Amino acid sequence: MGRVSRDLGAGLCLLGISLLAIWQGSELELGTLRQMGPGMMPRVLAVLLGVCGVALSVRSLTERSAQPSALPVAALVAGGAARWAPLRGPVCLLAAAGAFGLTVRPLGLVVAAPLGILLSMGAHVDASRGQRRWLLESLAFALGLTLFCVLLFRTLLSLPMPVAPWLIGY
Amino acid sequence: MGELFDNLRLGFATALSLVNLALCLGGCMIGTLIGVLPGIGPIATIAMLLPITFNLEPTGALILLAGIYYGAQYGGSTAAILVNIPGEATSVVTVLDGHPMARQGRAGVALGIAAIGSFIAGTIGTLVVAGLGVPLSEVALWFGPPEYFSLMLLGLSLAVVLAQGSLLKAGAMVLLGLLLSTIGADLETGQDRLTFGFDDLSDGLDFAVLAMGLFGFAEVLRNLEGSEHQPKIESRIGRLLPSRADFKQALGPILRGTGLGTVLGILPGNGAVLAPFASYALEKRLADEPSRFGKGAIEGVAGPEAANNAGAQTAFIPLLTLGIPPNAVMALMVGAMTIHGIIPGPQVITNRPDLFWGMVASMWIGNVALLAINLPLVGLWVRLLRVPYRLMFPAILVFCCIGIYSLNNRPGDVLLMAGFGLAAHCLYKFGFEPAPLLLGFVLGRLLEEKLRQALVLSRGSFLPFVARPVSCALLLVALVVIIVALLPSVSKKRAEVSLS
Repeated sequence: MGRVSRDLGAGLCLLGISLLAIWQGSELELGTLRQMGPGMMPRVLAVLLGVCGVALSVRSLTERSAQPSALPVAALVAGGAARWAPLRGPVCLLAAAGAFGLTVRPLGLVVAAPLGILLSMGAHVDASRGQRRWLLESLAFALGLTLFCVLLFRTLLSLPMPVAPWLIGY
Repeated sequence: MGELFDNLRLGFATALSLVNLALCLGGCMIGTLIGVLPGIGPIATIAMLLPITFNLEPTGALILLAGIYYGAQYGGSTAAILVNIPGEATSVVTVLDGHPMARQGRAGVALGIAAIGSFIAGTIGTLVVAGLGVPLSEVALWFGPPEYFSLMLLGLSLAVVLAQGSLLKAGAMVLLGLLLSTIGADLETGQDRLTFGFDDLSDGLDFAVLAMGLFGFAEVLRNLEGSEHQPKIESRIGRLLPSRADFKQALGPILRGTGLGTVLGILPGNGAVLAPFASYALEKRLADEPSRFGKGAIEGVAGPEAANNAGAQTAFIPLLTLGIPPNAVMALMVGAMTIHGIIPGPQVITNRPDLFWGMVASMWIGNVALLAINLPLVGLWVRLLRVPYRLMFPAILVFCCIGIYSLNNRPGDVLLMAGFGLAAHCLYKFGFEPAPLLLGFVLGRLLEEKLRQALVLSRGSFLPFVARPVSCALLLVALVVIIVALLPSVSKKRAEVSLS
């Protein structure tokens, strides 16, 4: 997994985005230079992006250079117990943001904040500490931070955040 | 001259009102805090605090946000000197000589000279903003669509050249940012573009959501991958005030750094990031014994810190006079202004003199406050550096979520932010940088508007872009910048910088 395949991936990624934009914008009227239509700018930019993608891919194939890759794919291919380790951060953080987004309106900050904090803390577990201690510490931290958030954002800055609509009505 | 004094009097009267003074101090405190803490920067913080500014008066809102921005530049140097980690990207250079000074037991002197240098630079930078504001905004009134278009193109070329790593990749990111900005209703016909059928996207992507995803969420993801090691903090601070000899040695670098930072900061396309590097290189070249650099030379701290702070002040010039944000932080300021119905541009100075001059005066007051915040309170900041990252990142994440949700009260925005964060993380893995993307996104709408206006006026001909002298000159500079970056010797240097 050298720089060659990383740049190839990068180029193909750009090409994909470019094709997606061209497809989405295909219905839009291009217009003329004298009177540009809504589709002109997106089309021109998408084509230029695609050109960059192709250039990057071609360059990666012609240029040989061995540089260690930072792609998690490398670790995934390597297999073993550490296989899913690189995905742990993204998965936990996405789950945290998702849980927050889904619960904040119906259940309020008192549910959404601790849920988000606890889920995101799963992204980093310190193996040297005991599981039990880690759990207790996380719970205490989540509760404290939630209280702080309610006081700061709702009481002090009076943002219109639902705190606990099912309990206190706002 | 008399007019300038009248204006400054108006500015100080505005900035010294109780509310604005409190906001200025608050902004400087928050800025220093996030500047000290690695892992969270001014972009994410300002995006987070944007909803809070809805309830404020526009001048106060901008004073607060500006304070966060230049406060972070001060704070960044504290982390650089004491822990050997740049708290902000702009204090990378300060690490080189600041940390060796700390290891020699001269941490206090390094912090002191950084703060004093920043203060001198901030004062001169503020004066430049005050002096250049009116004349430049008068020049800007002459600007037609072709000039605006060429100026933005120059800004984008600079952003490409100043990005780390491959030029092709940075260029692609600018294009992607421009492409993302076309999402939403068309400027003239109101037709939905690239919305994939989502009604929420008709208004376009929200800049704060994108910025928070790119610089809040993705940053946490990136930091989690680096193995966490408890940083070794130099706790012996020692004397804070530099001796007379130290000061004499540092004064030249401070003034030269201020000059470099002032000029580079005015450039569109975030020239300010270049300032500390340029100053360090200059001081090393001018020094009698260049070998002292990297081993705790006081000039290596004083010059770059001054350059950094001067650039942070003059970066406001393109925004306040031309209405063109030179970097992502300034783009958030545009957001804060438009929320209050102020369209950034040359007319701001004449229509809202209290806002312009109030901001200028608050910058200077802020610089005085930062001197007071940074030096005596350094013990407090050191203690903050001991907070482990495993407790910091959940807090950053939740603050991001709360900030984004309260922006429009749309839960979907939180998910969108996370999606952008993940996408940005993938792009980072492929060696792409987020900064050029964000600048492309910021300038995209204006760029398209001006291009279309120019082409309507010229009946579809590109001739005015090269036939009008100012526009032609701007385009030529853009071309030269790109060509210089492509020269073999320069591109080799760029590769070295991005590797180190």
